[in-house]
Amino acid sequence: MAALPALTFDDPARGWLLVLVIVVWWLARPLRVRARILTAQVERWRAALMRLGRPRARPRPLRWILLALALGCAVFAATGPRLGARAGARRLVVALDRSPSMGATESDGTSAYAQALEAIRDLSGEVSTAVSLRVLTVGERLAVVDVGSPEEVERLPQVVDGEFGTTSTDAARRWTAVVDDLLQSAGAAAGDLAVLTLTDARGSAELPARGALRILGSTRPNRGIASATLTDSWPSSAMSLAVTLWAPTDTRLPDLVVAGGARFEEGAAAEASSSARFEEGRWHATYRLRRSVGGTFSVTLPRHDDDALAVDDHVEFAIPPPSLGRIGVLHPADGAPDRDVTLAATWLADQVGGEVVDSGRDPSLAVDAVLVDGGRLIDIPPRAIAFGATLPGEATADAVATRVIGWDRNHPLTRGLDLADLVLDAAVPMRSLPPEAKVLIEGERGPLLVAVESPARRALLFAFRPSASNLPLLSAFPQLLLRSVSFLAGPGPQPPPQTAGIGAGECDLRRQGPVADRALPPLSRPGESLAAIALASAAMLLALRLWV
Amino acid sequence: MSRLFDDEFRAVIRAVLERSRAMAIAREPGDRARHRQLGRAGTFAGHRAYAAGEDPRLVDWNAFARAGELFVKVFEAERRRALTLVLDASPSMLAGTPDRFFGARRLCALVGAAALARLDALTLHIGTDRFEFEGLSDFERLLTALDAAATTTQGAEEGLGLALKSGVSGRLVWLFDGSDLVEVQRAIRRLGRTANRTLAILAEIEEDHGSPASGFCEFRDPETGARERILVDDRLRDALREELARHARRLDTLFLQSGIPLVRQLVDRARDLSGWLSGGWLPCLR
Repeated sequence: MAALPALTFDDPARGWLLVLVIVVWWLARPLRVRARILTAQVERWRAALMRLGRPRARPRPLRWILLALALGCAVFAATGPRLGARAGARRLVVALDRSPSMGATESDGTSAYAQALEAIRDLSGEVSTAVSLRVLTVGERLAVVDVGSPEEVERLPQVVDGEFGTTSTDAARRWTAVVDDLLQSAGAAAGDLAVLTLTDARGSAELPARGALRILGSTRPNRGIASATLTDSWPSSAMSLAVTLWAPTDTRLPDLVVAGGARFEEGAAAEASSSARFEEGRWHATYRLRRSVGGTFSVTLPRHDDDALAVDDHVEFAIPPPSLGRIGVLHPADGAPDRDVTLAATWLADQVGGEVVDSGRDPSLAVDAVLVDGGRLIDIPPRAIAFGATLPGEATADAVATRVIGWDRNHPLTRGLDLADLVLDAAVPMRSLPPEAKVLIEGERGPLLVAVESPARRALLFAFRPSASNLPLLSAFPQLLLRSVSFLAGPGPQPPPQTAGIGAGECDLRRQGPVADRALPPLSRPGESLAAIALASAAMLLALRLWV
Repeated sequence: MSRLFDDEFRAVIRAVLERSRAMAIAREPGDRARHRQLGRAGTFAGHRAYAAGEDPRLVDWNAFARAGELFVKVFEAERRRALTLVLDASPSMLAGTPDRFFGARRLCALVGAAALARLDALTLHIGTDRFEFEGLSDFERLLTALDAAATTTQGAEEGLGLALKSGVSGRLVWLFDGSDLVEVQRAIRRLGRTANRTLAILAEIEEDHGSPASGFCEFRDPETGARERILVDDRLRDALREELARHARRLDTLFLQSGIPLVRQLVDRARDLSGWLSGGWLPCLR
């Protein structure tokens, strides 16, 4: 024998309105009879009433009963009666895996993510209005989206944070925590909350131990950049790129293509290939890079037939431009610059990834730093290294013979340098030094190297030209030049190492073992509303009451 | 001592009887002697059904032997002066305060007392009960019968029919309330030839002329059980008076057309017994 459909109420508390029936009954009571009289003239009383056109005060219990029934029907409608309702969870949370592996191309051209959206679309059409459907996307960060209709599901990719597949977090690690937290909530304990996890269960993902589960996608081959870490030595142009490539089927380190603001050092690819190591399907290698122009720097693993996931084939970094992008060489107009100065400029440009221009020929060219070879300075440039130039305000004087008597061993520029063998023929006097000037090398006749360091300018002022000394021959010279790069660039922030990639766990599109779907618990079903029928019944009873 | 016939009423009755003796009502010579010789003998007129309480000597045993039922011989009472008093005992007689039946029984006692004092015999019909009285010595028995009388479920016409069926001696006096014109009309039709020696006494009470009721009252007809809840005001009371007058006119018309004299006697004023004697019912005692 089939069970009768259950009758439930959306708002049973409104049943208290039935008290109105008593109130209406009390208000509908007839007047209190003052006297009860036995008489043989009832017909004459009726005739008198007719004569005056007054209605007879006939008690009409049927009218009262119909009114009470109509009121009862209205109260019944107000309580929201439903027939055939089913108890169950009234909130359904779909935990949607937005990890990059969900975007892997399946054999039919779709992706697990597309299948998940299709499943959510189906759910939004299937669940009753009594069930609130929310999508909890678990990606780089959590996002909650209310989904009330299939149209809202279509907008889901736009609503959730960012474009799918750009996340670099291994979101699979969060599944257990997120879903367990949900299922330990009070709503889930009361059976009011159901959680459905949609995931591809690929790689090393830990799947939620409880709640409904639907596995999407299939095992697919893949190769990609699991992670890439860029270490920048700015203001130097040297950079280091440590990569982990997921390529379990490759017998040698796959080739990478770099583009943008940096380039491989000469022989860096061969060097990396020779030193690469292979562990558990991953290739680990380190490349030397040189900054060229800065800006966006990309590393790409060329596509391959066994590559289901495109998102892990390309990583990008933003790198700062060269600290001294253009270095000018200023020399007297009557001759060529000192060869050593030119070599120093070239060497500096190579260190910072910049270029050398001849400011003597074209003074209008904007430069980031200038190397001055002799002559007279009208003003100290903002970034400059001057060799044997007469300082502003200094009287013109011939260079005089001198010798080194000591140097600052604590200053970052000269710390640890051995200048004891520095010999020079002559040096220009540097008496008109700015107040912020600091003497680094002291000579017999005055300062031989001064560092000017202020917010407006950073300059190294040599009192002698390289050709008038043995400085270019000393081992301290390149070190001094290298340190001058950091000095001229100023105390800028050191870029931290940058890491990109989706992680090896996401690149691995295999499944660790068989996993089975878990069905959804019963969801609440409101049943057919009886409110309209009850209201119609109330109206009919009132109409009947008019007729009775 | 019954409430109906208390000492005060009995005193009034006695006074009324004293006065009635003094009233000059002509009698034919030899009436007394003939009265004595009349009795059970006389010209045989037929049979009637035996009524409970009657003298068994009246039973015609020969008829019983033939038919198996009890019959009483009826003799033509030549020149015998008798009165048959029929009191309507329908439930509608309970209307009024005190009820109409109360005053009607008192009127019956008055008429009966006068009849016993002046006539040879009195037959009283109340509902299904029938009583016979002769002479003033039966006066107490008359009062006892009236005191014990109660209304029945029968209507006025039905009660009158029963009386007619059991035979009417002398004149017929019918006391009724006249509340139902249709029933009165049927009763008049049933009287037939008896109508020419019938006097109808309408036992009136105050409510037959108007009602002092006011406010929201419930009126109930004790005979039909009909109820009516009415908010009574002055206009409605005026309309009721007009309806009552109209009803009275229709009743008068009915009796006028039938030739039966109708006497209206207000019976709910127990103290005004002298007024009762001056009513139009006295001719029935001649």
